[in-house]
Amino acid sequence: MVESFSLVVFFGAAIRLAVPLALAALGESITERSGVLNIGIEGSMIAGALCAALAALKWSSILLGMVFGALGGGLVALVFAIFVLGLNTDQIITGTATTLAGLGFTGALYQARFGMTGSVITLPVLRSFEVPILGDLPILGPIFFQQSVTVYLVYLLIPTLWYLLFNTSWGLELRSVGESPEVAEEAGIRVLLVRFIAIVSGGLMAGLAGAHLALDSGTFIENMSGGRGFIAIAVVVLGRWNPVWIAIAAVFFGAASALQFVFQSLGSNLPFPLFLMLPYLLTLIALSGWFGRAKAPAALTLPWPTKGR
Amino acid sequence: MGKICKTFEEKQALDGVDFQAFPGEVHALIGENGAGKSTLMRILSGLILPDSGSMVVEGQKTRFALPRDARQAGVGMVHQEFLLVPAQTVLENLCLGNRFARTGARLPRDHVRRKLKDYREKTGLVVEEDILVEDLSVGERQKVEILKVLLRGPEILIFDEPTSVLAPKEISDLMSLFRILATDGKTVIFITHKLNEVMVSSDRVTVLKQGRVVCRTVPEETDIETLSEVMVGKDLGKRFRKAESRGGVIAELTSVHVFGGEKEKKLVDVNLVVRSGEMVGIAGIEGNGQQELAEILSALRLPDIGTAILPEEIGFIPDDRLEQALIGHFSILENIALGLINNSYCRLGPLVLWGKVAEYVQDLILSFGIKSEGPHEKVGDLSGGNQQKVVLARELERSKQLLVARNPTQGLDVKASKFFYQQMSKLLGRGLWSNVADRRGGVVLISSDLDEILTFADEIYVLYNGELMQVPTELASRELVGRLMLTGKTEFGGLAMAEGSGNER
Repeated sequence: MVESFSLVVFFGAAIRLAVPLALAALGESITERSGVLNIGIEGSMIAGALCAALAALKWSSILLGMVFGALGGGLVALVFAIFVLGLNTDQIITGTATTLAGLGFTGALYQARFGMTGSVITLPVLRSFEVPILGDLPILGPIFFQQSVTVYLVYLLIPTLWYLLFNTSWGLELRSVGESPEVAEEAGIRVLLVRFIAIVSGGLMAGLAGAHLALDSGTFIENMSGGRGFIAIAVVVLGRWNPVWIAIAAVFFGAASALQFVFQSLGSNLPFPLFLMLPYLLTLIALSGWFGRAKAPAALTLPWPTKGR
Repeated sequence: MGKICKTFEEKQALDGVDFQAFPGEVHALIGENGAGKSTLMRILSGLILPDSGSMVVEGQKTRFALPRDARQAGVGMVHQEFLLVPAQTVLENLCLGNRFARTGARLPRDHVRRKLKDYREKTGLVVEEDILVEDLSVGERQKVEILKVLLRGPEILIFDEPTSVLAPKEISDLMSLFRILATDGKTVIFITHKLNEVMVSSDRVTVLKQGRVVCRTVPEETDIETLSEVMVGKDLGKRFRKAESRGGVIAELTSVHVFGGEKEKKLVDVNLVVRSGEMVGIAGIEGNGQQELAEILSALRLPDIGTAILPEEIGFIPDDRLEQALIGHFSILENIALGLINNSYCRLGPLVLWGKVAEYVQDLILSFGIKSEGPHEKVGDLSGGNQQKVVLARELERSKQLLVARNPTQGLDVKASKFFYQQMSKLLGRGLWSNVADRRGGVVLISSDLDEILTFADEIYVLYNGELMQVPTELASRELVGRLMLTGKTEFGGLAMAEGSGNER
């Protein structure tokens, strides 16, 4: 009985830890489907966390915290979009700069507002609540349906994005822009507009992921995104640019982090970074193409319009 | 279309072209490479704007600024390179191509399926709907492309060299489709340089040459000979002095095959011998296997079947200089040094002796007349002709034994072309330095410029549909070679077909 209880706790924690990854990765997958690799979502995420913290602190509202968190992430992505689409700069370099600028800027802002020593700020915390009926299910209930509102948001996003991507004209246009912008343009699609929307949507969701980080822990710490933006990019690859698989991949990464806590609490002398490494190993294997093809959108990272046009 | 003019970077592509096509007819637009056929049709389909001239489509005076405008006016173009997304299914591609006709956000899958069924009954075009485009053969892809354009309900259909990628059966199917569409009241315009197709399946013909209309006719009133004469012009009757003596074999290709995609053959059973001191000319219209043959001869690619014996020092002048030969952001000096990197003259161990290279490059700039601000100017800032001179200068220096050149004088002025051929003669051991017998190299000239081949080559071959046919020099007239380039056939039959060919693919 004790064992099954701890397993439930473990999987519940895995889901909870997967939420920021899933949010950011689902957003990033939209961006990547349009042919843009935004490795600046780490910057969107930390900006989202800070904006959420500031908003939640000012109005003591979780909802406003999340809204402003998303807006903060979207704003950072907007800067990325202006450079990449408007000035046709290199996506990788611009993304790296966005991340580093985002981390530095939020850190500076935080110190300016709360002082160098960083008096710990306390925010309203995301509480978990039980879904009626489903929450009462044995085992599954406590794992999946006694969670915070962001978890349920991800549950909703998965089928919604899947349907948008594969069953609407909008999704087809998005995918075509990422696969072959020439064809899309000939079909009358405004390639840059689609990419712009995709980048900003990705940024909004990364910002939401950041908001979750701040509101789930109830505080803001410098660099609290802790590389999750980059992990999200790996999650997109492992999830093969498909919302359903991305969610599963995010849980996998979440489980790996949860495992780290389990082993720490058990006082095991196994070095826990070992478990953190596991998902990345899997990402590499997924990229290798040994198990079916994990094909990225064909026009990913390619500038548009191309030279000579 | 009336008095259409278009100029690209000082080169006049279209010079006052008048063109008419009527509903219910299949209209063939023919001409040599660079005659302006594609340019004219790209203007009609809104991809480029004319400099001057007027257009009347369906009784309306128009000027298309965007492909969208042309589409709304009922003009549809089936491009030579298909505009399809390989990683998506046929159905998705068709939905995408018709997004402007959609209602609501849902993907109009069922709507497109229904329309496809209609067209299947009407035209006999059958494609599998749920298969990925990347898994289709070229012929099937073309069907998808045609259906995509048809679904838009155009009145005027333009096909840009539709048969160049098709097998004979597919070609005849396509020709019957043209007929069906024309009977349906549509205007079908197709660009080609295969004259037999024109004779068999068109109602009217317009011939373009160097940006002008040189002939308007109907197939009943003409024949292949007349058309090809109109297309490429009269025999100039001038022939260049041939090699007096030839040395040993420098390069030899034996039964070389190269395969493209699934059912595609790029080169079929190619045999070729290059001896020292001789220039082998390979005539042919681009896209008949030139790229593959050039890559094999310059050791960039291995044959799929067959053997290629090649010398060590090969110079290669590719077709697309900025893509394959030069780095635009590098200076003239650096670009030339790249080719000489293994030359002990300008190296000291791992060090490049930039001083020596610079002297040498300065000489080349003077002798080739490269218009530049000096060796340190970026190649990307030079004009196309001057870029070509940089490539020529470098590759001529490299090719001690074999030089493979594709359309080398394209974009060069008369003076530079002359200089280039002087240099080639040197390489061949003729002219001034002919006494240096042991340094005689061979040259393979792959060109779509018939005059160039006839003037300079010692041995003449024609590449058609991946097959290489030798033309006996005593028979090599402008008409004969021209007809071989266009049709792969000649009335001289067995005589001209030294390499077993004539069998159509």
